[in-house]
Amino acid sequence: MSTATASHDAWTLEEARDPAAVSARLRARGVALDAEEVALLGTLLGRPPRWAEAVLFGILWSEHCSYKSTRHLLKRLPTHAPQVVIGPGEDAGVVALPAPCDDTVLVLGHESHNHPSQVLPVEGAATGIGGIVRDIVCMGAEVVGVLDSLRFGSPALSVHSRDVMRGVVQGIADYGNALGVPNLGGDTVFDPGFDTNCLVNAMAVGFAPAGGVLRSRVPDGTGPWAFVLIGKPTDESGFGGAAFASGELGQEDQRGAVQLPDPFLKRVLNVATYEVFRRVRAERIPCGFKDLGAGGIACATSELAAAGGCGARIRLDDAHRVERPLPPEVLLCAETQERYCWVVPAGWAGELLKIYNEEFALATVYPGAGARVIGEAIPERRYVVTWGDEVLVDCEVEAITTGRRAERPSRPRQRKVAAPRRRRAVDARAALLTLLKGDHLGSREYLYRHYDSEVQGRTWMRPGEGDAAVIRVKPDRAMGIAFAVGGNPHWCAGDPDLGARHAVAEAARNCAVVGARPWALTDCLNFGHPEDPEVMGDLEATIEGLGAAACALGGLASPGEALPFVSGNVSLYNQVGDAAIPPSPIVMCAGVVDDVGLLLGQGLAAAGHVLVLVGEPREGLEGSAYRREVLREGGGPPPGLSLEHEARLQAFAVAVARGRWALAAHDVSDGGLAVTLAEMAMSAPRGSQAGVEVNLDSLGVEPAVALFCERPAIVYEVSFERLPRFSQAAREHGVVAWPIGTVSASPTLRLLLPGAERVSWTVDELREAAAYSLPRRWNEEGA
Amino acid sequence: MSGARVAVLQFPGVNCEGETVRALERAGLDGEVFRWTRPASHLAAFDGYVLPGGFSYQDRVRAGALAAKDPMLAALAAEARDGKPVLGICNGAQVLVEAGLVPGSGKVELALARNRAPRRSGYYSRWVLCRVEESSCVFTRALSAGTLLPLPVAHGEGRFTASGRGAMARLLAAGQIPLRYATPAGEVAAEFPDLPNGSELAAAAVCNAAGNVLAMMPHPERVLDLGAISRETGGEWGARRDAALQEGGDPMADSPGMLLFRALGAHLAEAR
Repeated sequence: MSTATASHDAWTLEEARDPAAVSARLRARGVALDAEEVALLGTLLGRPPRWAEAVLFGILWSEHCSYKSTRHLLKRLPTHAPQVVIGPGEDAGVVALPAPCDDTVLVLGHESHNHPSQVLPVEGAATGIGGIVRDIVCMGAEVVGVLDSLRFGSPALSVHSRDVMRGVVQGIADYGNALGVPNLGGDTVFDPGFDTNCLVNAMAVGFAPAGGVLRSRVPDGTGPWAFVLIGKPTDESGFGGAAFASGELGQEDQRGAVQLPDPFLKRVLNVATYEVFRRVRAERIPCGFKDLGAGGIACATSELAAAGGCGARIRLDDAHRVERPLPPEVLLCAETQERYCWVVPAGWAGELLKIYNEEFALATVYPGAGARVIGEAIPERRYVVTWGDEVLVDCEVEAITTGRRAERPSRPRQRKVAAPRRRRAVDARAALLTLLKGDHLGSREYLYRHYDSEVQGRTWMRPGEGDAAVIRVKPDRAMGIAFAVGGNPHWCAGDPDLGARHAVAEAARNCAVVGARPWALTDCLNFGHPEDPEVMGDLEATIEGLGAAACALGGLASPGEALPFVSGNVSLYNQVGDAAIPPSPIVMCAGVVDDVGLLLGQGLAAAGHVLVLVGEPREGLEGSAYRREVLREGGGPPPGLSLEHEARLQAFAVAVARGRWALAAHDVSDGGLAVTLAEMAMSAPRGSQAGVEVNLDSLGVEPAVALFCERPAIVYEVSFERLPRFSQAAREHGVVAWPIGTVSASPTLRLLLPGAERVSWTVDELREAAAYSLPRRWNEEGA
Repeated sequence: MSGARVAVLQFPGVNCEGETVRALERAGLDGEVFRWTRPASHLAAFDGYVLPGGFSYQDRVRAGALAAKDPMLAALAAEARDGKPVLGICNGAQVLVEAGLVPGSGKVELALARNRAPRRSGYYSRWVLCRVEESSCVFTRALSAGTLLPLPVAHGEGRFTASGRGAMARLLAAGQIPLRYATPAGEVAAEFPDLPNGSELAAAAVCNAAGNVLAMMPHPERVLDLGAISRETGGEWGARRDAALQEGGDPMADSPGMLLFRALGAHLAEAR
């Protein structure tokens, strides 16, 4: 282990006899190969690896890149449906759209950037957005939106959690706003379980011409094929990022493993790349395209070759890079942002270079940026990297594609049995204000006002206006796409299987409520150490739940089919010491809106209409925010969920929007019916005098349950003229519709509770309560 | 398109060029992205110009400061002196102010300073109301004074401020502040959030004396369809939106922002 240079052997044959010792010494130098992997690498290569090879395989076999603990489990998720063009496995998933947008495909991606965001919140979150955007673009798509699901520690307890929140929001805003991609929402949850390990899940979506999707591989045919590296000059930033994401956050300074974002360069790079897309399509140029992420040049070029069934010879010294001298293994594997790699016919490479270097003059936009030919495909299945006269890597392509599988025992976690609920009188007035003022249910407006949600001019429904955000596919067509997320960590902690079912159901229901047919899913599984059998037990139960719900809720896209997962990510080691984060599957659903003119928002429309509750919110208070935030009893498992009923409820929701039978709609979820009604009143247009007058006596349950039960349901605003048709449709879909009140002409929320107690709030009072928490947390100093 | 040709100036970092071209095309104009690598002399062939929103040159130094020194701006100033219409939106407005084209003496008289708002700093995005003021500005003169236009703002540096005392008041008196932030009742906005950025005299847009060069912070190009305007919008436009979304309504009718592009179309048709 005395070797210093990239082309020398990383260990000797002598040393290889003690793989554990080799592994320990490698780890001390930042290369994460366990003893088993040290032995495997020697066997695969038939010799000790060169130092650069050890670095490369350390990245390829990291949890982040190899999914070695979870790949076999992920196979249990449904990924097939007629609308799926490309399922999981590529950088992003691709689904077809129905007519009249069947000339366009929807590209969906979902990534986590948890550890970087905990260590350097602004840069970590920004590069999370930057990375997922590249995943969309490298499929040949123009990126048209991003979403983010954020999980922070308790801001009440920890000044650091507030710093992380501020930094992450700033990073997302700085990057997305400058890149010119609208932020289409997401969610934010606070829980002490994320105090030392926040979650930043970034989702991105794009459109590509049907038949114009690019693949990340050397095309078929003899070529000759040139590898062309484009974008920012390579530096050392983000070196070791994949290993960093595949271990526990440590005590030592790990900030160097976080990548550095540059949305300005990325904007120009993407605009130039969109021009390349037009040319390769017009001139029918065969090509492959891949983004540079984990493992940098090495992973991108080797995977392009491996997927194309050929080999590659890469001349690292031809890559454009910063002027300061850097070790070649760093240049080979650094995760410098804002780079892509093309594979094009060698005869067309000149044209490609001209577009980036002259027509868009990348070097004048960012010093040293540009496009350079760095190698070629070779028919032998070998992957070779040279640096001047030195050979850094020379191995079979098969060695690179050899998957690692780590055996992880699992066992179900013993759950605490929820304490029996103490019956007590509910102070409804105080309870609703407490919920709205809390960190958990307070308005997220203060955060999302940092984000541009309308750039590109496609947006029809913005965050806060309805249960999902909606963009239009093309200016001359009525079709739109809705996006929503789901994943309640409190529920998943109480019961990972049922919590995961709810995550899928909620994301899909949010799409259905605005009028969109749930069309495809993405997910990220955020968990603790895979070596902990209980973490693996949670993960298996989660996958079980995700799969069960997806299998039940795909009928609105393709009758009889599952709602397919088309892209996903697993993020493990979200744990410091013994404290794993709560099991946190986060699910995004994309839904198809046939006509954006029929979308249903959540704000009350006009006085005199009827408010109808659809669903059966009469179970207890399991998992409710009321129990956690008001009674302080802890959450316990989530409410029950009948997937068969959920499918009917969503079918009904889509029919309501399509038939114009309602004027507003909002789902009952966090905080129960009381919070739903409050949010509908608060979302009425500015200057509106509309309020809510509701009688809950007829529900036949105790007041706390009527107000705060979180079993899935939807509240609709319906005109008297449409009420018969609406009710008939409810019967046809087998869902219960309860007329519970009316939209009143005074801006108040007035409830008659079971037992004839009356309680009321002004809408201004509700708004003030909902706007209490986040501006305060944001501006709070000290501990 | 057989309409007049309008160049949409693309500096590195702008990011609203696509929807700006769409707005121009909807107004019957021939919108064309004019990239930074093209010779500035080609600008003379166009009939009008839009500087779109975004982050030109990464907002280095100050927003708009570097683009203002681009050779394209010298060429643009010459065309503006000839009376050709120029619209700067958001970052484009910052460029026009930094280049001295607005209010138009050629010197830098105004600044678009960092937003001022209670308990928040930096970028802020929401729908606001803009009130049309008496002005000979080509983009608003077809609208009667007092008309309210709901439009989105999305910026961190949008507070119009002048170096000279009373300069903003003189611009207002001269009809060079054609749009001011307003309350739903139509009063000039005095405080956040109706006034989103603390702009002096609640100015949302400033034009040159001739009225052919307009620097505006709100984004008229973002929403072109009436049915897509913010659901937060109440009042007359809210009622129009709701009617458009009802059975028999036309959700794809013109949005309030589209009125400014129609005005440009009418002006260029007249000029031909």
